[in-house]
Amino acid sequence: MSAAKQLTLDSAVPDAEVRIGPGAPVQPHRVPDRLDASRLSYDVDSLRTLAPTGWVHSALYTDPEIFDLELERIFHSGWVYIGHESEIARTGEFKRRQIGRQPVIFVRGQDDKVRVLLNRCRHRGAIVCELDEGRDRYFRCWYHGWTYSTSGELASVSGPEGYGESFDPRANGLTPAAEVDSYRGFVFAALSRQAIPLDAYLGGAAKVIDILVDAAPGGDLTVRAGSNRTIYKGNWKQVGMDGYHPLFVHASVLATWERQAESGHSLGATHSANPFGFDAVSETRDFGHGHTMLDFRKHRLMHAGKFRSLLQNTPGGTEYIEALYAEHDAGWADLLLAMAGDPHVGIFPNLQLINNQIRIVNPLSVDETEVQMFPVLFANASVELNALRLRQHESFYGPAGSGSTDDAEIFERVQLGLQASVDPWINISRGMNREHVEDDGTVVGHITDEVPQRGQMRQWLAMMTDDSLTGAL
Amino acid sequence: MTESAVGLTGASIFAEPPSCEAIRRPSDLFGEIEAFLCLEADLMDQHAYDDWLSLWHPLGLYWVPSNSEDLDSERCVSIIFERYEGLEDRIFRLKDKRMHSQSPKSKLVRIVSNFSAVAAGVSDILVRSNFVLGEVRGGQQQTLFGRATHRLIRSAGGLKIAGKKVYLIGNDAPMRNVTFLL
Repeated sequence: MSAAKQLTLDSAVPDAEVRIGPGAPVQPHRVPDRLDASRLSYDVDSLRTLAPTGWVHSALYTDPEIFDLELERIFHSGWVYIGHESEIARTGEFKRRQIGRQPVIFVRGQDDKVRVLLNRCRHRGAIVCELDEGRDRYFRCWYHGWTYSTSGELASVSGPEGYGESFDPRANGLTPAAEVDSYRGFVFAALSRQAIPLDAYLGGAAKVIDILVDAAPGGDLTVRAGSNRTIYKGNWKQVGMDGYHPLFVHASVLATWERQAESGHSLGATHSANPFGFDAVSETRDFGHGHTMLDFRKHRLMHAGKFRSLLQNTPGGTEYIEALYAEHDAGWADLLLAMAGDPHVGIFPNLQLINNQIRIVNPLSVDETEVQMFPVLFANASVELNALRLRQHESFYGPAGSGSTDDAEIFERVQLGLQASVDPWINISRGMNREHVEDDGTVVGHITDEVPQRGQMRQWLAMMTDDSLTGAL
Repeated sequence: MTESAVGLTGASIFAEPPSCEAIRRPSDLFGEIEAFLCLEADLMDQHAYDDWLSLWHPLGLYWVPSNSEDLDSERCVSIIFERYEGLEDRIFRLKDKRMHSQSPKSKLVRIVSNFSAVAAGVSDILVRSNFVLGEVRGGQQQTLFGRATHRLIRSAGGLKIAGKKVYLIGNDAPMRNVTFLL
């Protein structure tokens, strides 16, 4: 092989025989068809019986057939969170992500547009992006050398004489997600056309996402601090908004906080006093579409002074506080400061904004789940303030943290317990006797109530039994 | 030995001490270092929490990076980045029966080896080692591989850990709970 023929991993396209101009439009390649669910033994009516209000049949957590159907109807059909725009701030930057079982590339093309592309060569199907993250001008399939631009166009094929005149490169680009949209930098995609736009899908949850974004001076988040990735042997739906469990699951952490209440290293600094007690003023909220929140706003406003003094003792903290009050009216700034950028919201099905992190939930199988946690830093804040955010995150989350690991242990115990299929009904009725509905339809309950569990299950049932998705059923 | 003299205030603690030289086997110092790290490994495997903590200098820094071996801990997330007070909290919790992720405790066996050390005198030492750690819990077994860097300084009570950095070679992949001592 001559030197000129050697392929390099560098960004230039070597030996491009069929080349499409950089300005060529990306054609809307075929949108993935809905997967055939005819092999499944559940019909819509039987699914409806599995989640009556206040109850869940344990098959939802243990049956591989239901898991397959969830991937098809929830993950492969609806809006799914992909990533934050700041992760791919520069042209050509990319991250590998997952939509259910579909490998995708989250990439900013040379035209600066953010895309979600199926990570699969249109020739014989190998992944074309093998790195978890990086920056390049092209993706190349190393099976037979087909090469794609970061916009997804087929840039060159090897041996083009073998394809003849009728070969249309524009029809052989990387398959894009059917829809991609974003809210304040949070990018969502769907693999099929959505009847409901992203704004409408997020609904009332959008305004609590603002609690995180507005807590960053200039609204400028950076999600480039790496991630913690953990895995547990339990069902993905176990990762939910639950304000009932901390007194029990996190008993050892609460004991640590009581011992070191003033430690800036401990999360106790942001979780002042106990927001989870049976007499706490904190609330749970169900915004619809499965989006739910542990709402600490009332509680944290009562304890904002402690977090304010922690910030004031951190280099750059006073400037940070001044920036919040310069950008926002006093009431909203008070809230942003008290909440420390933590909306504690779950966006169905796979996104959570908890404490200082963006969390993605990836279902691997009916009893195995991966959780990836991305600490969020503030672009316009001091290194010390951002380092404090990182240390707070590590103390509770991540594979050696004090909190998530105890959660995962309990989820695994749930998965073991649910193998008992005799009398298989699980109770999620707590607070049905005292929840109330606000004018905009948001359901509100006490922090220890199972308002979020019921809200998530209502969305689960709606998507699983949507007649427009039933296809072969 | 003053705090600033051994750079205890930053991640530079994992850099070689100034004007240091290689410590070779056989020597009394090398033997002492090797025995110290083997003792530490035993204490971790046996969940001898207080004894393990007693090996630490009160200004110590414990760092388990995430995603890579060597990222800027002020700008990138770690698995663990704790000063001594954080370690005290960790030990406090490990001794609490309600720390469910270690109830029951992991069964641990680790092999530490491939020691290499440099030192400035006999009081300021940087040791590198490799380890294989087998863990069994809940009927499941996992094997972790990694490298460790220890900064050891000598005080009245003997050698103390002023800094320990543990690089798990799988730290960029999804992992199960690693709440036992690494």
